[in-house]
Amino acid sequence: MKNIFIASLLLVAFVFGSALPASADAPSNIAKESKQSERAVQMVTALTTEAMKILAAELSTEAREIAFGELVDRYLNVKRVARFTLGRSARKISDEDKLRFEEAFRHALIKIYANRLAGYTDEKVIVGKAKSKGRNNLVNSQIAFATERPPVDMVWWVIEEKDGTLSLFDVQILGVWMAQEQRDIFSGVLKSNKGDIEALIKHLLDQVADADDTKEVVSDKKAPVISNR
Amino acid sequence: MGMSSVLRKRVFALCLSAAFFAAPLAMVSSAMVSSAMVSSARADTIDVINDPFERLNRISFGAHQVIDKVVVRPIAIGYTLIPEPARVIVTNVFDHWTSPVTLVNDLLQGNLDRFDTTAKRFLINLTAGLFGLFDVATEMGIEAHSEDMDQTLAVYGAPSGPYIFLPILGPTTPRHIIGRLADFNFVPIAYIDDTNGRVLANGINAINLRANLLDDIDNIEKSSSDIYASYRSFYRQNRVFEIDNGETSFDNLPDIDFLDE
Repeated sequence: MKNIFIASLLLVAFVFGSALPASADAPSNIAKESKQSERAVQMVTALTTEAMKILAAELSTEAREIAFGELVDRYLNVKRVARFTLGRSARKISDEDKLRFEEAFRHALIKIYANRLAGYTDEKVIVGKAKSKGRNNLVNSQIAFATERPPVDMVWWVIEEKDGTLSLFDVQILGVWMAQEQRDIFSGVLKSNKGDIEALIKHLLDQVADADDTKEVVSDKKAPVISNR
Repeated sequence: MGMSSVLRKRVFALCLSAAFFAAPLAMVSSAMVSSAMVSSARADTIDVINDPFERLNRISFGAHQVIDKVVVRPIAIGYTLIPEPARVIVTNVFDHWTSPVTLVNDLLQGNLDRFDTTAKRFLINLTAGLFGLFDVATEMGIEAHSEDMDQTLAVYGAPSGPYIFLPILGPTTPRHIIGRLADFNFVPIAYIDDTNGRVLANGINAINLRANLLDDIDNIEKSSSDIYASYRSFYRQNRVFEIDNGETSFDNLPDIDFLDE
């Protein structure tokens, strides 16, 4: 009987012993995630405000790309996104080639999105709520159009870095993640070139060159050039 | 009327209903589930580019693009001369009269809340919205959503099968083709007896849809380094998003921890 009593006590102690730290941690985790969500919303609000200012300004293509480059460097972890777009192939590539790819990727990324977003000048981005789990944060937003077009949902995937800062990883529009799209394109290029990273880097450089060849001046006005910091 | 005649009529109408660009455009805009059963369907859609017929698909895609550039896009540009409020009414009417598809699939997926929403929207827009001319339900805060048989089959765990790009019909999969054939039984347009009337209705729907997406498609095509791969990615991702009822959860995110190694 005494043994059963002691065993029961040990069991209770074990259960509560293991439960106590968890129940003490839970509120602090919730508080941390809530604070992180708030910061993620602030970051996306700042980023979209700056982006919309760039789009609304009458900038030349070159000036718009420079301004976008600045945004990319400030808010995006280009290295992480570039490696994601390489998929499993990233493991087979030398560090030197990865660096070359990242640079080409950054350049092409700015060209792609500076041009892709150029037509959206009268839209507003309304940033909504965010949810956080671990270091991942998903921030909801909507693009409201000046026309009668219904608003479009967007989700921003923001990651907390090891130093506590936040960086953007990907953007989802109507269910389509942009980095995933690039990954799908790159995997095709790598597949058709037997995994040769040189072919992919050339593909990106060609894309940049094509964009340069077809540069259009958005405005006839002399555009202010926003310098890199 | 014989069964084969009815079937032929339906298949013909189906081809036109997806008319040209309904399918590829649906993936770009929204026109353009979270259960263990869905995970298998999701896995074969998003983790692996299941495109074993890529060479053939690219040829189909090339033909599709030519038809778009030469015929459909110019007509869509001309169509935008119609004032926007009138075009909104056209969109409302087609959305309204395809909502029975959503209604049936809400029910088949056992999603009674969404079924209730679709039923309310249908009744409100039928009455206060004057047979679907006006989307009064959305103004009342009852938001639209879409369901189809492809999504229902995915919820039941059916794999999508390989990616296929069909000229005129656009991107699809065997599961999606089966789904569309089934869905067409619930689209009132399919029951229009007059062939010309049916063709006209489907044609207007397709051109209206293409016109609504002129800028989006132009932007994508201008900036993509491989338009075929971009469309395939949009289609695959958008299907998964629709199957998940537009919910983006942490569980659906790809693993990226290895990127920091």
